[in-house]
Amino acid sequence: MMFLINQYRQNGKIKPNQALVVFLTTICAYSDEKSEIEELSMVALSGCIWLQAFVVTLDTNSFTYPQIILIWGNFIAFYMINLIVSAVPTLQMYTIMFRLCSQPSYWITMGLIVAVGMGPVLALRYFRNMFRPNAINILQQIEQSNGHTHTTRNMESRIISAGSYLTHLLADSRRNRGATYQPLLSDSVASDG
Amino acid sequence: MCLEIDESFSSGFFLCFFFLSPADSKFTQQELPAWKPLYTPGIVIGAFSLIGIIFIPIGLVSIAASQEVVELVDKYDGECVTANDKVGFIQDTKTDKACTRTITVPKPMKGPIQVYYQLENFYQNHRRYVKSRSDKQLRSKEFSSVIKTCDPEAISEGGAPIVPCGLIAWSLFNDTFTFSVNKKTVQVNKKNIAWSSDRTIKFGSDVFPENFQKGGLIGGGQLNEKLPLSEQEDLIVWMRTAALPTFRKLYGRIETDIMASDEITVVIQNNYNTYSFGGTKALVLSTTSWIGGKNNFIGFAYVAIGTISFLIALAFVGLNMVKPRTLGDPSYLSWNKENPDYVQ
Repeated sequence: MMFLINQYRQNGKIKPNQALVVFLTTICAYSDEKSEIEELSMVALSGCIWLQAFVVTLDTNSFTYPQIILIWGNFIAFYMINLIVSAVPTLQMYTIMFRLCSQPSYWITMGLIVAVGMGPVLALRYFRNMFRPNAINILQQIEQSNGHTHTTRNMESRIISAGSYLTHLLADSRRNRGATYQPLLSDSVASDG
Repeated sequence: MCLEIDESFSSGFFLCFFFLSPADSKFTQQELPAWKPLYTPGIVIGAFSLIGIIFIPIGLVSIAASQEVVELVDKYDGECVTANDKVGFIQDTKTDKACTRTITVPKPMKGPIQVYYQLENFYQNHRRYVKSRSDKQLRSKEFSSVIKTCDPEAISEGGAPIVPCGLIAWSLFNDTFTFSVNKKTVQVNKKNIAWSSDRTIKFGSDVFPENFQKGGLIGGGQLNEKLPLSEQEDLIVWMRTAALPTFRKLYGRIETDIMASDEITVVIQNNYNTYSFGGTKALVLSTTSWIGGKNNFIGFAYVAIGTISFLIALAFVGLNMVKPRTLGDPSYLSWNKENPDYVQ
């Protein structure tokens, strides 16, 4: 069981603590002790697939339709493939997925795994972006919110040039904003160069 | 253009493909329209509040469904052995192993009531145990000699194949339970306790037990050699190997209701040896609900997550009140701070 989750984690985007969330939630939710090995394994694997979809979604800063298709297509393909495999009588997986999908407790467990796995990540990410932002966060926020960029502070002579560069950058970004605009590739680079 | 290239076919094909691709599509020029989400306070606080609003009701409903289930557990392995030498008692074929237990029903139990046996410290998930079976043999008579994976219970002492072979079948659970309620006998329905997919496909209707439990070591229950495997539902249930060392398996169903304060009398044939390996045995009577059996974990976990999410949302609201931050304010950039670190 842990081998399966660990193996999957190495190939995906799930962090060790999230793998632990998947394992413990699966064990506790199915602790009514009537589950077979294949059932429990499939619940844990489903949890990994769900978590991966949400982790990749959260890590993506720019969505074009290929991203959306690939993230959720992977999710849908997982269920399609497993339902197909569950229809093959000679396999150990026969009818496992049909049974799981018809149980309310399966879907409730999936929701629990996603909430426990993603909640802390979302909270920490938001906190860091809001209260400890780095330059990339700020530039992304400027681009996406089109916020006011007025700078009124006095500057030391040694950093005036940096400030001027930034002012040019931001001014240009307002004039040349487009759907695919990349803030670090401003025209002002060419004009200054 | 492709015809002018003096190359081998494969590289020529590659170059043709390269030249034919549309050089100015939006995809290749990275100009596809893009949505760039921004985690504003409103969005994040709203998300956590929404999680709370969704999760707490689901949790409460799950807890209610779980509380609705009436479950009676009777551990009998200790009391049902009258000798000091438990292993000797259970292995002696001549001893009377009947044992009578009495259970008083605390709450009304609505039929059908599931009857399970529960074993602890029994590792049906052990790799060599799990592998000790032959699905081909179970499925069809023509594969009765496909026993390669069944060691050490593959052939009988005479050399003939054992059907069904393997350790899983060999260790079939064989305690039996007879019920009466208020001194009136109650029938246990042992039909349809196995998955229908197992009964119709995985276990053949033309496969009959042969040479089963004929060796020197008896691991568990006998099988009726006149019944095909597809009708031996106790065996089918047992061969669905459990994932955890503590597990329950369905023994049968009591179709009638049982009233509160009724007295259930169970006569148990205590045949199965869990004493050699320190296991325990229990009889479980349980009603069911849409959430399955009695399982409080899901409900309480949902309520906890919902509550924590609300608290996180409140914390972020408080943080934004006490210490409001402007999104994308360039004064937060290190070189715009009034006292930059590198100037000190």
